[in-house]
This record gives sequence, structure tokens and C-alpha cells, in this order.
Amino acid sequence: MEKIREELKTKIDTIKTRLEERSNELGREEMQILLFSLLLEEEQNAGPN
Amino acid sequence: MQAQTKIENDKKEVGPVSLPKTLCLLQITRTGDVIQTLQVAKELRQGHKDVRLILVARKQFAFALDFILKEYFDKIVYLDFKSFLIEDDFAIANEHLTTFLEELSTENISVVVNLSFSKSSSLLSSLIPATHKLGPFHGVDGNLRIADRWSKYIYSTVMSGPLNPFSLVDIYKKIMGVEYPSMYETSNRTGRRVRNIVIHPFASAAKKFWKPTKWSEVILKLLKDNSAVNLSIVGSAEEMEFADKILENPLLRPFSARINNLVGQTSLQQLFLMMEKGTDLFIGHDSMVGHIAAFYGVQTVSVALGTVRPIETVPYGKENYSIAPRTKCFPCFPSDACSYFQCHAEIPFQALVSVVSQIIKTGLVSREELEKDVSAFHLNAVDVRQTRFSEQGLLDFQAITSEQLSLADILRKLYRILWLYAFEECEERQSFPMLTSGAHAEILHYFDGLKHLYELNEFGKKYSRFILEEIGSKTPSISKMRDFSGKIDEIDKLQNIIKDHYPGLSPFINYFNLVKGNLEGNNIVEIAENSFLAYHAHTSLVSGLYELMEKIVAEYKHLSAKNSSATPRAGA
Repeated sequence: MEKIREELKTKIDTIKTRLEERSNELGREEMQILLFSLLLEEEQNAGPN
Repeated sequence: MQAQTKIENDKKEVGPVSLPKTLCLLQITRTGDVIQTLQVAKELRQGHKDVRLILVARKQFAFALDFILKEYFDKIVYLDFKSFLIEDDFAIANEHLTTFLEELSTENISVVVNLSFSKSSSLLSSLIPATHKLGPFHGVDGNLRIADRWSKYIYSTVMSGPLNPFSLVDIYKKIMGVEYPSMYETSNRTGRRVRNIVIHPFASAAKKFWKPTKWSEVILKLLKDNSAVNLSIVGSAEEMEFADKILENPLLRPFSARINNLVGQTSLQQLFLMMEKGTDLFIGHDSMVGHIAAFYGVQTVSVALGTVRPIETVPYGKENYSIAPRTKCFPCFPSDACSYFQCHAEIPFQALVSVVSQIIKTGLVSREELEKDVSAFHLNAVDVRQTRFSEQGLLDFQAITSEQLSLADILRKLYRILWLYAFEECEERQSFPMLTSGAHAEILHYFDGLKHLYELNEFGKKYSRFILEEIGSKTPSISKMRDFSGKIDEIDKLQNIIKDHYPGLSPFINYFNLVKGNLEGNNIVEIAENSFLAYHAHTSLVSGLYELMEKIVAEYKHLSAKNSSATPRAGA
């Protein structure tokens, strides 16, 4: 999990910089990375139902 | 002749065939929300049997419901993100996610309906190819987009405060265009005898459920007063400890034969079966069990505490009862720290017992009986309400206890009238809200806020029009248009300041902030026109709210004057 988190952090930072600069549109691949990051976060925070 | 027959056959073979439309519902939040989505799917199926329905849900929250989901959805796609993470390798985990998304990409989806309103569901909605999208999704610029008005409403109003006057199920139905009368409007309870009661005395957070000692009192009194009634307590394995604490009260021992402790012993499927057959009444807090009861038309009595907003999540059906405290801080937000739980103490257990006992005896709850059973000092702090369907087929509350409306209650009533008029062009009949002196003082303060908001919207209209006029001029000036646009930004900032001073106006301000952030248009003319229309719509709603408030205040003054002239003076 640690390895996934580290790799994800680098990728998200790149996307954020790109979005801040408005130099590129958000592509499908990037959206998927953002989705992955959010799902990971939610998975960690989800308590019992 | 033969040739003619052949042509006819060919016609039959190649004639246009309408393919069923595929609707994909995204519901990746918790089990209670999945059950509410199921209720909507059940209603949708009533009028649109030919629609192909897909549900995307999280495996951990929805798979236990697979047996019932299969009855209403043609396909259920479970998102099992945990299983993607088995190996500590991003590329492999991401590949699993790609496969999951590819499966959805092949479905030829007409409409994706995002009912989850979370960041992740918005991105998921963006990644599913579909002709139309309802609910939030992200545009290629990374910004959030919401096209339909009811989803804008949820996002701006339901998510941000307690002033939503609609049931979530009704809002979901509005998003999906389910217009026919609800199948939950009818109830077959005539001549019914209440024998078997199911209790779920727990909820997902400590803020939302009573302590075990209070439930022991409820159970004891109910069994003492109603000798023909049996109780089943249900819950998950995690709730067994609480159940034991409830039942360890020695006074309950003589009644043990009439108490069936099923906590930690039933699957969701068994719980659905219990509700479908053999349950006459459900009692509990705000939890998914109440929604399961409502799914089968079982009458419910729910005690709303903590963060629960009664009208939003009361079990969807006719003649269900909600008991809520009048505590000033109720309902709170999940992030609000609270150790005292004042709202828990405000509702006396006798109020719940009285409501349930009345249902057992007559099927109905009356204010007179409540006043007999519960001390006026206790009842004064409680709202007991019954659900009903309005003429428009929307779930609403009818007060059983005397209506001492707070400012928030009054605003909810007025917003309900105004939103329905704005979105659906329909007028719903509502009882006239009577002010208390406290609410009267608060409402007077709001007139100033409404005036400021009205003026700002008029300025918004003016500067939108200036932009249009500048574009229409012979030599449009970019710098002028930029200045006008800057003024519009300032107006929006000032509206947010109004929101801080008059939080009761935030539903309109938040909604129109979202509308302005999602202005449609392919060029500056269309965008400026839509900006003008947004300010205009906001102005109309603000005027409407002002007028309704004026009427309420006038009625209050009239009644106060009448009462004071009817009161005999001392010594007269």
C-alpha cells in the first residue's frame, strides 16, 4: 500500500500543477488517477456500515 | 402476390426496432442510500418497464442486498476497490480499475445518473460514456458540472445545510423524472392488529441513537402496557454489546418470552423477509432498517437525533411517524463536536411509548392522547409528525404536536413552496405557518437581508445587460467587458457576505452560485444572456420569499392584536 501511495502522490502533484497552469485539459487517464486517489482515501476512511 | 408477401415479410424483418434505453445509477455511498435508490428504482419500474437499469455500487455496501437488487436492476456492477489493492503495485491496481471502467463502457448507456454526490462518484460519472449525464460530473477542465436543476439543488442545498424541505427519495425521483403517483402512497393497514414489532435501537453514529438505558425503559413500558405485543430487536454483530446492555435491565426479565433478541443473528436477506412478512410496526432511529421497513410498506416510528434531518431521511411512506427534538442545535453536522447530547435528553421515552401505544390501540396518533400520556413540560420540547403525500405526490410532514415553528421550520416551508414553483411550476397546498414571538423577531431581521440580496441581483442583471450591450455596439471594448465582468464577480462575493449574516438565505445564494458556475453557452453572448437570466430567476425567488414572509408577519400582527384586545384588562 505504501508503494501505491507514493507513486500516486507524484502523479497527483503533476496533475495539480498542470491544472493550476491551465496548460492542459484533464484527460481520461488523469481523471482515472484522481478517481483512484479518492477511492483509496474513501476506502481508508470507510467505517462499518 | 408472392412478391407482395415477400415485401411485407421484408418490412417486418427490417422494420425499426426501438432498443430499450439504458439508465445507469451511480450509488457508491452506504447501504441506507442504496436502499433509498432501490425504492426509486422500484417506482421507476412501475411506469417504465422497458428501461434497462444498471446499478453501480460499492461491493461492501451493496452486495449483501444483491438478492433484492436483482429484482429491480438488470445489471449490478459492484465496485470492489479493496480487491484492486491486493498487490502493492499502482500499475496493477490501476489496471483493475481500467477493466472495471471498460466493462461499463460497453453498455451503451443513455443516461448516467449520479446519486452519490461525492467527489469520487463525480469522477466516476465523467469516466462512463453516456449520451446524457444527470448529477455531478467533471468537465475536461477539471471543474464540476451539473446540468439538471434538481441535482444542482441537492449539491447546493441538501449538502450544505438543514433547510431542505424534501425527502431524498422524492428528489431522486425528480432527478430521474418519475412523475406518476408513488406506490408508497397507499397503505393496507385497515383492520390490522399490531402484534409483532421490530426494533432497531441503533444507528451509525453515537450522536444518532439513545443510550441503552432509555431503550430499556421504552421496551419495558411497551410490553407492560400492551400485553399482546411481541418485540424483536435486530441489529448487526457490532451492535450486540448495546443490545445486551438494553436487555440486562432486571425489570425486563418477566417479559423475556416476548422479547426476541436477533441482534447479530440475521442477514440482510432475513431482515427483508421479516419486514415483508410478519412485521406490523418498526421502531428505531435513522438507519437503513427503517428504509427496509418502508420498502414493504411497514409502518414506522423513528426517533431523529443528532445529525438527522427528519424530512430528508424519514422512511418513505404514508402514515409514518417521526419524533424529533426542538433543541436549538438540532440537527447538527457530523463535524460538530458534542459530548452532552442535549437533543437525546429532550425527547422523553414516554413520547415514543405513547405514539407506539396509540398506533397499537387505534392505528392513529392524536395530540389529545399524547397530552394525556406525556407531561406538557416534556412534550413542549418535542415535535411529533406524521408523513403524508401532498397532492403533487411528494412526501411531507403533518404536525401532531402543536406547531411551534422555529425560523428554520418556517423557511423550510417557504422554500418548499418556492422551489416547487420555480422547478416544477406547481403550487403545493401548505398549512399557514404561525409565528412564535421568537421566530417573529428573527424573521423581521431577514427582511433587510432579502432587500440587500434583491438589490445585488438587480445589479447582476444590470452588468450582464451592459456586457450584452457592449457586444452589440459598433466597436465593442474588451476592457469595458472585463470591467463589467469584474463587477459581476464583486456582486457574487457580496452575496456570499450576505449568506454569512443571514444563513437562512444560503439555499438561494448557494443554488445560484452553482447555476452561475455552470452557465451554458458557446460564446460570450449566450453566457451573458444566461447570466442575466440567472440573476433574474434569483430576483424572482427573493421577491417571492419576501412576499410570503410579509404575509406571515401580517397574520402574526393581526392575531397578536386580536389576542391582546380579547384579553380583559386587570381591574376592568
